[in-house]
Amino acid sequence: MDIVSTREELLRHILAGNRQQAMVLLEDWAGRFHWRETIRHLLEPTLDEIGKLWMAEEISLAAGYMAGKIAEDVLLKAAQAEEVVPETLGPVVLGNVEDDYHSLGRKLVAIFLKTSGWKVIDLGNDVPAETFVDVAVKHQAKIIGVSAMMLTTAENILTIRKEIDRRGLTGKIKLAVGGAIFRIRPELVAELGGDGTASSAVDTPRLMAELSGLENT
Amino acid sequence: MKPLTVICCSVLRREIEELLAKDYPEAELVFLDSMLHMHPEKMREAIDKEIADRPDRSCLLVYGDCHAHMRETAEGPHCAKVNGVNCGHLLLGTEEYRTCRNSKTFLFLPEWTERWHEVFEKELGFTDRDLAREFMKENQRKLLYLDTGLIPVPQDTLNNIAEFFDMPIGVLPVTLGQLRQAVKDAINRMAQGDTDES
Repeated sequence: MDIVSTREELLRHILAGNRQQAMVLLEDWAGRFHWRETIRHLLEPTLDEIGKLWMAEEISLAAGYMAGKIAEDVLLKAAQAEEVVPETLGPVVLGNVEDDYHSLGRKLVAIFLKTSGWKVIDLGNDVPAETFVDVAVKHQAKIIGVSAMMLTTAENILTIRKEIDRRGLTGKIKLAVGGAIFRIRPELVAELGGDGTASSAVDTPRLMAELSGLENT
Repeated sequence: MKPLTVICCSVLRREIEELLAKDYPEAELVFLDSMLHMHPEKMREAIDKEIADRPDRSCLLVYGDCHAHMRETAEGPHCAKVNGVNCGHLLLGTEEYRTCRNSKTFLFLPEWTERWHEVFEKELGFTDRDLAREFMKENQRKLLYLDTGLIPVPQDTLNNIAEFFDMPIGVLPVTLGQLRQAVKDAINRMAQGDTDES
């Protein structure tokens, strides 16, 4: 089976909820081409398709969640096979903004970033602005990725923007923002001081590369 | 203030009927399907239509921050919204709601409890029990039913939910005091706004 047909089959398995069959297919490819190549040529393009379907609201939360879990399973398998995806990029500091507790999107972002070789420092839910910036400075992270689901919590992102600016770190630490509210109201990215957003969790490696200036390298 | 219409999510139907019958018996009550939460833009359209159909009434929205433009909707002329980010917050108040969220507690309100199959299987797509369990356990530590005292605790349904997610579900009796105050505050704001305009 060629790579295009295999990607289509993998997508079908994910949408049908056949996690086990999806993993059998991925493991079969990894046995022939190694995990790193499987991630790059089979998993990542399939996840891109999942991201597009998510944007178009054509897949359920369960299917999106399962895609994330499969990516996580693959990372684990790669690690067990001593084909650890090297953390050559980052780090990125991730967290949900203060008062926000919707962790699913953030967790999926972390999985997809790790799949793409980013080192991720995940601070969890309800993270104060000062903590985001303190941790970014401590670990010399150039990107803070902050998640918020609703308008009322998204507005707290402005305090992170102000904290970055107050410490003279404007332009040195980029602020990536994400969550359902930004998909519906993209104008909020600029209004709340964000430097960029991604259309879905699987699109975040592209965003981080763009914010890091890696896109054209 | 113009005659009052309360536009409310059906998740709080019993509770709002109970409160309004006592406090504002003359108010018109409009309930919109709580499943609109799965389609926020449709929810926005439905709420906006109800408001547009009532130019001569003051409209109180009993909703949380449930769609992306809720604030603009609530800031329309002769409109107000109760303060709260979601229905759990409206029932529990800020302090207790925050405690629940910090302890990763997933809240079941009575109406969604009755419709839990519809919510989790049909709307969210969790037809696979193992995946549903993994999802819930990864994101939550506890399940908690909020007993507002208006219907008997549906113990059989709670047992089914507990079995489905393989997690125990607790029951927390809650009064309608927080919701009553939120409604009262919003109506007062609306009345004050009308006074300021005149």
